[in-house]
Order: sequence, then C-alpha cells, then structure tokens
Amino acid sequence: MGYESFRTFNKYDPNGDVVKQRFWVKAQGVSWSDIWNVRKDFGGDVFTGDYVHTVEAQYWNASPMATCSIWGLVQIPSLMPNFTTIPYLIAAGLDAHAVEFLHFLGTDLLSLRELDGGTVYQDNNTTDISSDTVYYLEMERDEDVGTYGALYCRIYSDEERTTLVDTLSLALHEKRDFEGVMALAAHDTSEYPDYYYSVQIDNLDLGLPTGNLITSLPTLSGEVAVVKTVDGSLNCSSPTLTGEAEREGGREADGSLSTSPAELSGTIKLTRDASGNLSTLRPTLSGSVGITGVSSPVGSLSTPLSTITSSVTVGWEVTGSLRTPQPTIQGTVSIEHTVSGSLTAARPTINASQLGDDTGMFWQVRRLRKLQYMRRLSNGTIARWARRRKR
Amino acid sequence: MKYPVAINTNEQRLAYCFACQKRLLVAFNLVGTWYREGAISLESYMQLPADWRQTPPFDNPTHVLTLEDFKFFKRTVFKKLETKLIVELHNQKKINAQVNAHANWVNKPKDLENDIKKVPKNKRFGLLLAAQDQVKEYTEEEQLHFSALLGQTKKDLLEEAKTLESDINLDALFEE
Repeated sequence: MGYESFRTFNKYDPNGDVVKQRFWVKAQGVSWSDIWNVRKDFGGDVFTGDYVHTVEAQYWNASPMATCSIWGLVQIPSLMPNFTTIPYLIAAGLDAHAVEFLHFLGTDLLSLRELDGGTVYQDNNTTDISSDTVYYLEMERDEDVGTYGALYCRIYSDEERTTLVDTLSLALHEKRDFEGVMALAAHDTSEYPDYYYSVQIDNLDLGLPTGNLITSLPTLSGEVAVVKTVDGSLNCSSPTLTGEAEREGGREADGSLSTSPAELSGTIKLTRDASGNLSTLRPTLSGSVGITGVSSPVGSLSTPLSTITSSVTVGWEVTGSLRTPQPTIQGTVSIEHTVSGSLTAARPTINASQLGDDTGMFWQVRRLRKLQYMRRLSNGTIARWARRRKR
Repeated sequence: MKYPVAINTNEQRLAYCFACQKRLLVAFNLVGTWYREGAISLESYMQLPADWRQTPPFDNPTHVLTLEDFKFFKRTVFKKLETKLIVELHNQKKINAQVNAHANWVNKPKDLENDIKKVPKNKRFGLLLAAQDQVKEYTEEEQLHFSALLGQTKKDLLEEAKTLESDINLDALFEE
C-alpha cells in the first residue's frame, strides 16, 4: 500500500485557492460559498467490500461557520462533475461515504457520514478537537458487522496511529461499491460567502496495491495490466506473451515494468507518469515498445532485443534515457518530444530501408541536433546516417 | 452485552455503550503507550482486558512491543472486542431511533434547538437520530446546526454514563 499521488487527481478550482502537490492538497482561504474539489474517478467499482483508508487532515482560520469534506468515496452515475460536493450528492440522491470537518459557532466536529439516496446518517466526535491540529484518520468498512456492514472513522493524534482520540461509527444502510474518490471538497452554501476557512490533507492511502506483480507463467495469452497505483515493479517472465503488458489508467508508476518474454506479439506501453524503467529483455519483439502517455517519464526505456520489427517510441518528455543496443532495428526509433536524457543506438546495423518514413527520421534527428544531443550521437550510426541523408 | 442492574432504559443502555467505547479507547491507548515507550507499568497492564493479556506476545508485560506486534494487536484482540461493542452500540442506536420515530416536531429545523430543550437531556440524542432522514430538506446552515446539536446531545448522553466509566470491566461485558 502507498500514498496516492494527487497529480493523478482532477482539480476543480475556479478561484485558484487550491494547491495540489504529489502527496498533499491545500485549500487556503476558501469561502463557504465556493465550489471546489480534488477528485478522481477510478473507472470501475474499485472500492468494494472491506477497505481501510488513511489520511492526515487539519483546518485553520475558520469563520463562525464552515464545513468541508476531507475524505469521501462517491457513487458516480457517469462522470464525476466539476461541482461534486456533499450538497450536490445529497440533492442528486446519490450514495457516498465521507468524513467532514464542521465548525459551527465555536463547536468543532469531525463527522463520519453515510449518504444513502441523499439521506445523511452521521456520527460525530465527543472528544474535543481543535483547529491548527493534524489528525490522523483511519476509515474502515467492515462488511461482516451488521446487515450491511459498519463504517468506522478512528481519529488518532499521532502519525503511527497509536493514540486514539475518538472512534466514530455508523451501521450502514446499504452495500454499495464506489468508483470515485472525493479527496478534498467544499461543502458549499450560497448563504455565507463571507465566511472563510483553510484546510489541508496529506498522505492519502486508499489501500491499493503498490507491491510487485510477478507472472512467471510459461504462456500468457491475455493482458498483464496494472491499473492502479504501483510503487513496486511489474515483472513478466513468461516465455510467450501474446497480449499486452501495460500500465495505464492515469495511475502513477514509481517502479519498473519488466517483460522478458521470448516473444512478444502485443505491445508494451507506459501511458502515464512513470519514474521507473521499462525494459524488455528477450530477442524478438514484433509489437511496439512505447512511452506514449501525456506525462513525463523520468526513468529509462531499454530494449536490448536482437530484433525489433516494429517501433520503439517515446511520445513525450523524457528525463531518462532511451537505449536500443540491438544488432538490428527494422522498425523505427523515435523521440517525438523534448528529451533531456540520451538516445543511444549501440549496434552497428540499422536497416534504414525499413524505417518507413525517412523524412520523419530526418526531422527527428534535426530536432535532436537542435536540442544539442548531437554530441552524444556523433559517434553513433544514427548520426552518420543522418548526415548522409542531409547531403 | 451484560448491563449493570441500574442500567435499564434505552437511553441508559446507549449511554453505557458509549462509556464502554471510551473505556476501550483507554485500553487501546495503554497498549499504544506500551509500544511507543517500550514498556508498560504493571498497574496499566492489569487494566487491559484478560483476553489481551492471555494472547502472546501481550501475555508478557516485559516484552518490548514491535510495530508488527502493535499491528497484530489492532487487527486481532482489539478488533475482536471493538466489533462486539460496535454491534451492540449500533443495536442500541437503532432502538433509540425507533422509539422516537413518531416525533414530528423535528420537521421544523428553525425551532429545533428550542424544541429539544423541552425533553430530558438523555432523550435528546435518540430524538435526533430519528430525525436524520429529514436533514436533507434543511438548508446548509440548518444541517450544520443539526450536526452540532447531534454532537452535543451525544456528549450529554455520554456525560450521563461518565460516572460508570471507571467501573466498566471490559472482560465481563460479553461473558457467556
């Protein structure tokens, strides 16, 4: 398990009051009437059955009245709209589990909530809590308790969660799977635009897998995919892979994706942020190896194959390196965007006739020259080939 | 769950459950301190439920608890007792909400604070539990007001049982 990266969350913040970093989100001086949120649609019933989530939260500078959500699982009929907040969910008759800070005329509350078709069931703390204090929360659903399960919010005063301040609990009224996370959100009301507050959450852990997935099957004909946050590595050492090995779905990968099949006829791709390595270690790849996402891989893409019949593509900014030390490249090697690392082709033969788009390759090399990577390439075959083409 | 002889109304039972929850919290924090400080006094150790004291490694008060020990404690002996208590607490909440389901004065949120003062302190929490399904009709300020009242009446109810808290024997609560 590991902390969620808020970089993969959507932010709705028309007034520019919400700051979102990798492991924390802060809403500074927001009005009680503002609508804002930091949310993520996990694209499927990810939160089913029992779960344990943790987050750290604090608020400060609250006016006489203010409230906001500091954790929430949300039912999403289609897409999570920009205006997703507890009042919206209540009005729309939707379901949710949530924890809210409430400040009401000198009373401070942490409120555990179940929204069931718009009806709000809640349990509030009896031990005093205060502003400017970090609380370490642990939310748990245990479906073995009662008819529909029990929802807990354990409030701790220390990071290791060894000192309990209070325990909130609700007997749930429905078994419901959730796909959306409302990490931090306004609880807006148009009545009091002049009431302000600030709130911050840190280190949200949704209990999603972050370890290693190892498949060492002799034959894998389906897909190997990690569709949630990965901090570890994905390792496929099967001799035959006919499907796809990929990481996608807007999750950040901190580990490495390693495929060592003897034959890969599908694709290997990293479609979002990757700070680890993508490496393929076997001699034949008839598909493509690509980093094609919308974000910035900071690791390396390494393909030490003896034969690549298709393409090796880095489709976005890379701060690591792309290495293709194969003896034969029959496809294309291309970097389509800014690269701050190096492109190395360490083998003597490039079958240019099969590159497909000479102009494209030439253009790529010019871009590389412009980016002052020619020094690195000057000893390489690609550079010599490029100079010949230019003449 | 076994209640003391003096605890015989719905409100008292619910208040007693809250008091037991607080007593469980104190016991949890004793183990938390044991883990953090690496030691526990014999006096504190004897306040822990017998079931915990009979479960290794918590059967040895001189044992220095590791993080793994503490995680094991949370998911086993503590969770087992907490679950029993929560089941009873939720049952008592439901009973208190049901007996007050007929109250219709809570339809008027503006008068909520005044109306609720007309009933004894220990009955207020049950009345508000019964009114929860009406909250969605309230304005945001009224909803916030309702939550604050719910929190305060829960505190009031707990206050009623506070004198009993030190006498609560967690071992005896679920004895056959």
